[in-house]
Amino acid sequence: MSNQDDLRRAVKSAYEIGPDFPHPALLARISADLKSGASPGRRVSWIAGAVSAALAVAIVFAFIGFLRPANPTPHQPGASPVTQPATPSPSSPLSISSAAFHDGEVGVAYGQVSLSASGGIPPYTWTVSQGTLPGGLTLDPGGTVSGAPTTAGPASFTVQVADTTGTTAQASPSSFKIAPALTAGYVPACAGGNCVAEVGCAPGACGEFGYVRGGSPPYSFSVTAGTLPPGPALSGMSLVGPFNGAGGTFNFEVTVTDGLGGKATLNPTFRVAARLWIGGSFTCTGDYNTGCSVRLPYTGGIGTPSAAASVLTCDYGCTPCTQNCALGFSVVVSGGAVTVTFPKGMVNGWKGIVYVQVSDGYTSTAGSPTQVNVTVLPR
Amino acid sequence: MAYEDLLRPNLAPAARLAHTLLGNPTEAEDAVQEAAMKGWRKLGNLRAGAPFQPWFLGIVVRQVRTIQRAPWWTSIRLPEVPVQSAPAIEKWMDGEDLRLAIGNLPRLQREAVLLHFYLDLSIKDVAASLGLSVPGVKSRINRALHRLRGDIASAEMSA
Repeated sequence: MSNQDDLRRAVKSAYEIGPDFPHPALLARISADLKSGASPGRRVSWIAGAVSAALAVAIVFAFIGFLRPANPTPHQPGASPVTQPATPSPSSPLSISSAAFHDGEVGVAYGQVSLSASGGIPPYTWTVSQGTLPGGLTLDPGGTVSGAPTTAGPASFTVQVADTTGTTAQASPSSFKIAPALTAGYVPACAGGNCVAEVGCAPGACGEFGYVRGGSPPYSFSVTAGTLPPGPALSGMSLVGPFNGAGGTFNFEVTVTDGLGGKATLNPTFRVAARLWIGGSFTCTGDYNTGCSVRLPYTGGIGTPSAAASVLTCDYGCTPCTQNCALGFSVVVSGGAVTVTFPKGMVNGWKGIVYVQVSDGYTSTAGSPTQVNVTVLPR
Repeated sequence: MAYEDLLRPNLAPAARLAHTLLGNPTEAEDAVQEAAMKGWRKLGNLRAGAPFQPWFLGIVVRQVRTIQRAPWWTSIRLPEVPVQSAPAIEKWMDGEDLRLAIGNLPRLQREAVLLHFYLDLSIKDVAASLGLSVPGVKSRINRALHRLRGDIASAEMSA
């Protein structure tokens, strides 16, 4: 033999037998045996059968008590002969004992469902008899549903089990839903993950950076990398609570996990500005002919803030101040400062206090407005 | 799938296997018929998802062994010589040396060789049929090949 292929060909040739073997009637004989449950009926000629029987009887009678078969069947003394049922009979009707499905989610491995049946004659073969499984899920003949869904939406189908005799049983229609894949994105104010915030900004004014869509509640959020800015805490896809410290740039990763194990991450970068601030007390002194102007530099904040001023106290019999004293002034924000200008024509001898506050949309100095002491000298 | 549906495509390989082991077509068909009934009774032993063919061929092999070791007085049958065409008989005769050599192999080696080389079962399926490990089947087939080479060579020399 040169190799195993040669041997294979030689063996097939050496044992080649005609195409009529086995006889087509063999299957029919077996089918009849299975249906009747009887012992197989062999194809032995009546002559051979008679000779066999006669020889067997003669030998048994001649040597009874001396001979034992080569493979004796063990018998217990006094026990009745055991009759082996030729056909296994099911202990109970075939029925499905478990076919409970659960919701799923696109892209998330579907928690394996094992169908089970009882009764009939195992092994069982499982199929979907009506409807279809959601895309991405498969049912193997052993009754295991697995896979990862690829399409969201409701699913409705019926599973069926067959035992080895071909008897079938159907489960009640199963329905569940496949949720869309869990996704996360940035809110417009944080486009591309570039977020701004300001020390001291009020909750709601800053800190929100993302949103979550799809998946299956409940969701849990956690910081999986990086460091949060000092002050706020993570709540969903937002930082909640006042920002502290001196500001800076902070990058971190937040992972959201849903109830079925779906995950999504965001990786925002927060540029936290120092708090908007105008410090100190200012004085503006002038007279009727000159008026006066005072420049109030501010620090921190984001962009160009807006400013407002109001007269809080005054004397010289001007009550209320703005009406009776006809005090007009302008407030201009430019070049990193707020300039408050009192024009000519101020009432001689007037003294008052003007409070100035600035706001940039994230925070303001409303809680501690800057004071401008105004004195109009007599002519 | 019903039992008969599983059985139908495996009857011919089973009968051919039994014929190679018994050398008698009538006994071979009877062995398959008996094995089919035993398979029906033991179907619950077939693991879910396990292939049917190696499992059933294993029953056939065991049924053949039972027939081969039965005492002479328990079964007397008149052999029925199959009617074959002349070319088939010639081919049968041509392979006599190989059949003799395979017939002289130890039982498990002979069964493994016939399952693998005659029925084209994989080593894994041969192992499942004979209740052996895969390495056990490989070693038996290797020993059988070694012995067959020697037997056939000596037969050729003496011819």
